[in-house]
Amino acid sequence: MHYINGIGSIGPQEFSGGKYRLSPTAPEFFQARPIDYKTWINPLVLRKFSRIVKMGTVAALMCLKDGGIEKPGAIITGTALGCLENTEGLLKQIFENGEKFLNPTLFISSTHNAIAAHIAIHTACRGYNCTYSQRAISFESALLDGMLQITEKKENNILIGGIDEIIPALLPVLKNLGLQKKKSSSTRGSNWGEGAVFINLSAQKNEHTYAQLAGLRIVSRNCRPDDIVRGMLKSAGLDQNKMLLLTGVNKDRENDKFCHKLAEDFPGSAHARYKHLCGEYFTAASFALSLAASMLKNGIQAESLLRPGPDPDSIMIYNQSRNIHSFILIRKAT
Amino acid sequence: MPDIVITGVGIISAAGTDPEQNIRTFRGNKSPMSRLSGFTSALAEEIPVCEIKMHNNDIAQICGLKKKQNYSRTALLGLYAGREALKQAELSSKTLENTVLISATTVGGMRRTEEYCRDQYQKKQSRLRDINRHDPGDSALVMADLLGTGNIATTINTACSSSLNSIILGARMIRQGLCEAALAGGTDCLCLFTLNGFNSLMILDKNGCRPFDSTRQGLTLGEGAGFVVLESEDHAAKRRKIPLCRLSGWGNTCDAHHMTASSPEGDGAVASMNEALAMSSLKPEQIDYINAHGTGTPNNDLSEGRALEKVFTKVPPVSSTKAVTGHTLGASGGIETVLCILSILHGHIYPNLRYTSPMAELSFKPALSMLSGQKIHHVLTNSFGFGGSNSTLVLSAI
Repeated sequence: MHYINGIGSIGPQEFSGGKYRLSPTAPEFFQARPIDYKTWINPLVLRKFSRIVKMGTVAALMCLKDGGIEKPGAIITGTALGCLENTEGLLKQIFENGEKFLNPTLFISSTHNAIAAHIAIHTACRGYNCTYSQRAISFESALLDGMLQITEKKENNILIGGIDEIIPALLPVLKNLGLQKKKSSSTRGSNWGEGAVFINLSAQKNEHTYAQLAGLRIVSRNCRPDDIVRGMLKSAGLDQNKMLLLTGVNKDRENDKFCHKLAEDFPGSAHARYKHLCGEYFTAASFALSLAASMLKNGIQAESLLRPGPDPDSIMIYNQSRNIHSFILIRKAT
Repeated sequence: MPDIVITGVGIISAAGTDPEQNIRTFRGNKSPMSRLSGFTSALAEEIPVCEIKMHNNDIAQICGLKKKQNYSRTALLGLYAGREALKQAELSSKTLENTVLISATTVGGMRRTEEYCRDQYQKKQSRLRDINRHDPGDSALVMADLLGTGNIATTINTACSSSLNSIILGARMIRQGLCEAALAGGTDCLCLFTLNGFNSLMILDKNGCRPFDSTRQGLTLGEGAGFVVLESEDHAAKRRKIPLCRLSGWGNTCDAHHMTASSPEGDGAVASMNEALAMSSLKPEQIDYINAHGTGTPNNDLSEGRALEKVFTKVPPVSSTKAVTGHTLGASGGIETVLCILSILHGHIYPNLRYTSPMAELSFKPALSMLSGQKIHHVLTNSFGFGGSNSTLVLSAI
């Protein structure tokens, strides 16, 4: 069994006391809300951290506190674009200084696993440590690894996080690639976002449990998403009419087609979205999972609903990107 | 738990574009280290590299692609090695459809991103096609698409330990029944970013790396890719495929000590090796050869050397192959795993080039020339990365 026993979230929405305080807005891009990082990490240490390392490390610490854990058994992160601020900083120095007088700190903290490493140093966790970088399934890959660790009975209380940051230089690139919505386009692109969300995955249920993780599928080819959802519900013994579908609807027409089609295939289920709360980014599924888990524990939040339905006992999170589909199923912990 | 075996290998490094060429280079006791020529850098004159002297278009053509294409060098190198590994493994099309692809890379499409940034810096028109393959995940998608692996494709980036971790994940996914086979390894190419990054840390040796030498001053960067095909022993037996070797154990631990430096006593490395040995149910004295991480930096070799002395009462023949292949970062675990498999199959121990003077702190010396005709039953290989990431594999003869 896999239980979500803690959540830490830094992003466009405020998470505190085990709940999201949702405030839907419609910015051009969704920035993470500022946090008083000094209350979590010594300011002298903090000074050396880039923004994404701060967000990631503190979200992980919040998650541990939320789950009443001092030291995780393992740390697994997913980040598609990694530490952009430091990466860009070093590239800039390379060209501006003619490959001389470079700041080594930029390089040290430019690696994708810098966040997982800082969390390990901060929590003195010497267990399994891994980082995935696979575009829209970076977080799902980390989640898969964490589920395996627990099934193998190797590690318990695993910190699993999805972290990506926006830097100013990213926005024109996203716009030119058609990923960030241009004002002129009503069909293509989405409003980009960022965030750092960690969950604590554990083999045991306890007083901190939000939900039980009941299935994960990643499918990298043409597929019938409805068949996969039915299959997952069946193996978990869940009723589709008591399921809430939480899909990655993001205003990009091609993407939304997949999501709405799936919702049509399950007319008896409620349908909710989440990317109007956190924006589109490659590891947004981590926000979706934390939102879903907190809703199963605390009740559905109307800000997310596209179509109401019966009170759910499970939530299926569905995302799609360039025909790579991911499905995360959670259920009420019993 | 099913036993995991390896049924195919693919390697491309500065030492050669197939297993035989790589072995020949080692046998010749010479390093293919050279002056950087693949791109322009202010460091090219003073810092040697282990570069594959092939243009992207030529690699593409060998892989059956159109000469002119838009893939990153990282993806092309991975494609090359992945293709070789699959060729040797001879998986059925049904199995291929169920095969996962787990790649590893640290730089991804960085080399093209640099062109994009240079254009921007010089106020020229920068091209989108130079940056849309920036992320590490791109190369795995290209490989999965062109090689036809139909199950999940994902990428690990834990710096220099990346590709041992991808092999470990492949094995774990097979054991949990999530796939029939896994194509796992890593790929990385030389680029300005890593060349300048390591140079800023002052750990690039201008005379070429000298692993485990008392005068060592740093590493030599290389490029390449190494991939293996993993499947369960039963799966291989059912299709009458004789495996190349068994993957008998693995370990992954974190130092939790410092972002770049290994802990001076090598605690994380000790834990990783002990984990791998325990899993393989082998005693340290049963290991016949150790392929060390051995980067040639003062910190790594001291820390790893001390760790080896802690795990092994009598340290077996050990060498770092990085003086020949260069440190290929995210690809190094994949390349070194393939080299270890070749060591088991051919009974040889690789030389640790450019070693002249022993480290006072260590009691053992690395192997100095290619030793052939050895009976190699069990091999251990280490990869350590930034962030204190330590990984170990134990490979065994069938």
